[in-house]
Amino acid sequence: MATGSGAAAAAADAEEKESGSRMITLTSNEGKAFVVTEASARQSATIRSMVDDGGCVDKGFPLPNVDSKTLARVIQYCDEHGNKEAHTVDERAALAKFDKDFIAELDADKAFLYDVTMAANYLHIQGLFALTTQCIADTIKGKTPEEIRTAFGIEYDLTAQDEEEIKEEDTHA
Amino acid sequence: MDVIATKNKKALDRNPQEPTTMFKMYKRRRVQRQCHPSASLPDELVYEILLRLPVKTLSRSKSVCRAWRATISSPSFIRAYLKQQQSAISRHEQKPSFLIAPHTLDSVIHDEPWPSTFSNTITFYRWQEGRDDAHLVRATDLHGEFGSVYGMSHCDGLVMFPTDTRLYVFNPATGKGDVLKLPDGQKSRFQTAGLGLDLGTNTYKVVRSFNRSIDFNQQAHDAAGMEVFTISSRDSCWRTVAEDPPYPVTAHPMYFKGSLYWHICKELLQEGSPPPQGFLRFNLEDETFRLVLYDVVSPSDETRLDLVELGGELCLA
Repeated sequence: MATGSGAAAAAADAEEKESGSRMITLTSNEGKAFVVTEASARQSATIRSMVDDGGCVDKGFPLPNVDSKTLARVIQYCDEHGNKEAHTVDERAALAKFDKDFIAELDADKAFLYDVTMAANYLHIQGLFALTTQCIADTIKGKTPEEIRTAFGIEYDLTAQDEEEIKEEDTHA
Repeated sequence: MDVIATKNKKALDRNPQEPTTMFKMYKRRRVQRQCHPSASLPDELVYEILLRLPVKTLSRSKSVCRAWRATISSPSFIRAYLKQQQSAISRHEQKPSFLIAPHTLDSVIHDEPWPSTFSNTITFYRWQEGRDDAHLVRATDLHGEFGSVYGMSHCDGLVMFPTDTRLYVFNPATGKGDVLKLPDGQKSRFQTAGLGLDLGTNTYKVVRSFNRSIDFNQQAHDAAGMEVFTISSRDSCWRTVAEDPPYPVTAHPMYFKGSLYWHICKELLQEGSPPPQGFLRFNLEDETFRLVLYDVVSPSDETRLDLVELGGELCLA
């Protein structure tokens, strides 16, 4: 987890060191297996809780909602954040740089960006989810409703009455 | 052929219980993606994305489609949005910004107990931590509607201005829309007013005290009552609170977690009854009063203790 404080973080750190050498297998919905370090897999709150509950570490985790292409990209993020330290200013700057490049690349392919966001949501990878959702939100900023509809392929379905009500609300807001 | 087979399998895997429906949905999404230059945003993400928009964009986004409008207007979304903003600040992802509403006097009349020449142009500036200067958010000219402004109060970004003529509520964050001018209530000069959120109905309420006695020189506590104005598109009048305040109150109340906290006015207490060491709490949901007592910290009667909110807790200072 990217954030955390006090005793809980210390305990998590200790546990992470203890079990950090274990390897975990994640399987995409196409049946492709990805072997990652436990530290990397623990970026996902979903997997973390399954591991901590004494789950089937040896058997691996099938992920029926995530395809191989998406999973590979998600793992790229988890590897960076799970296996690298973020204690010094330089280390944090390196991670921030990684995030910046990572999201810039994803942003070029919106459909893929949404797939990664959905996977981050499903796997509860807080940092990645915040990164991708903020990126999508940033594209909305400064756009007119019409531009937003075009950008997201949304059909215009407001009635004249709806528009009237919105105007009314705005003068009261 | 191979690719199609994989896609079918993927659709089936997404929801084994309802393979046919899921498959249809999946196909529709693909088709949409082909029609539009950009991919369509999955419904599950809309809520999360909207949570991360600045207020101005959010209010404009109501005109995108019905589904977005319904989400943005729902009370549960509004709560989640405010919570998200606060947690972004506490996680240091976002620097807090301050709203500055300076009062200026048009002219100075000497020996006035309280100035009656306040500027009728209400301005708001926003200053974000770390910035060099504050920028103007909005300025509204109320053209001589009032003379004096009393203590302002705010709740979730709404700002209330009590004046000697009427009460105004601003929502500076949206930057548009007129100021809400509250109608006249009981025909007497009000004493004190507060603004807060009713946690039961998720509506903002303005509460003010009024005096039933016309003669202000003989302010008797038993002549005081309270009235409530609910800020919503339906309500447009003041409603007298069923229960009168059990103690006389003074100064402007402090809002904290669904209640307003008033100072008890010791001067108006009847002779003989010792003043209680406490605050009068008004619950905005059930609209009842309760006395909140505290231990005497300072032996001096001269010091008036004030309530402040620090890190989500109510403190005495």
